[in-house]
Amino acid sequence: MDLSCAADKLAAHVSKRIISDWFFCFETSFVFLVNVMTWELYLARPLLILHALTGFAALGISLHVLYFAWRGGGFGRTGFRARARRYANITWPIYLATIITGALVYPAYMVDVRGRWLDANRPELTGLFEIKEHWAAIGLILSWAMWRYLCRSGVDEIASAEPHFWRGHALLTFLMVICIAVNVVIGCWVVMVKSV
Amino acid sequence: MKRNYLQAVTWTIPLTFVLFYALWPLLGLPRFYYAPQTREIFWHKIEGIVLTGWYGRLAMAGLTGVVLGALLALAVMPLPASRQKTGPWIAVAAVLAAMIITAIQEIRHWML
Repeated sequence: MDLSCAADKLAAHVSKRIISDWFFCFETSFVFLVNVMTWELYLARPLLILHALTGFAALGISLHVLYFAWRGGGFGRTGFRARARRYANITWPIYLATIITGALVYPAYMVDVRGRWLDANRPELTGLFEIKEHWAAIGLILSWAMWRYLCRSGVDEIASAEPHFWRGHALLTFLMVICIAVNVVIGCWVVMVKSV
Repeated sequence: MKRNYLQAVTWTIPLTFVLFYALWPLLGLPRFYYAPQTREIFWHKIEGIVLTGWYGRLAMAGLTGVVLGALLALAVMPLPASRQKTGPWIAVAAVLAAMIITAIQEIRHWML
């Protein structure tokens, strides 16, 4: 694959479209949503900063969920379970926001960072970033499952009657934290080497 | 019975999702690709252009995982809660396997 050639064609294409895209955005707000090119040109870095901030927030809150979920198993631990529920209610929206902002930056990363430079010079970082993507997808479904279990399944009765069941979900929450932590570390690593 | 279903979906949907996500390329199933240069979506991968199948893989695994996970939860719903206690541990094993499989795929492709 001649990635540099494709990226150069893209750069020429972008420079021609840049002004017309802005006028297009003023014409109708719908275009603002569908015009990916404008996102990439003007909002890639602010979105990347937002992506990092929400990622750090997701890591911190998910650690709280893990702590209180681990302590909340068994009889008479309703206080821990209530706190775990409170943090679980926040975790999945923040994690979803992280995924969405990351997905919006993703095309810019694919062309400007990976296509232009990373694949040719640091393929091991491309591999690490691919692992980050996969584990982000796995962490996303785990964050939903953790929220669903803690907040939507009558968990107080289950935790008292079935501590084994509770521990299994606490371990799923632990894996979610691992996924988020790996995402944060690899994301920071790649950005320090080459950013959008 | 309803509570059994609510319990079951918390591990059946992650289980089916991660299995489909990790095994999708190994099964040879088609998926759509997004080409950042042209901002178009293609059903099959095109050589010579930066394409990403991550969106497609996520969407396909999400769709099939949620549907089949909900059906699996319906199937295990009649079981009493005490019989379901190994469910989350099966999901834990599947998630660990998915993490290892996806990591090995990328390490073999990019680092070896």
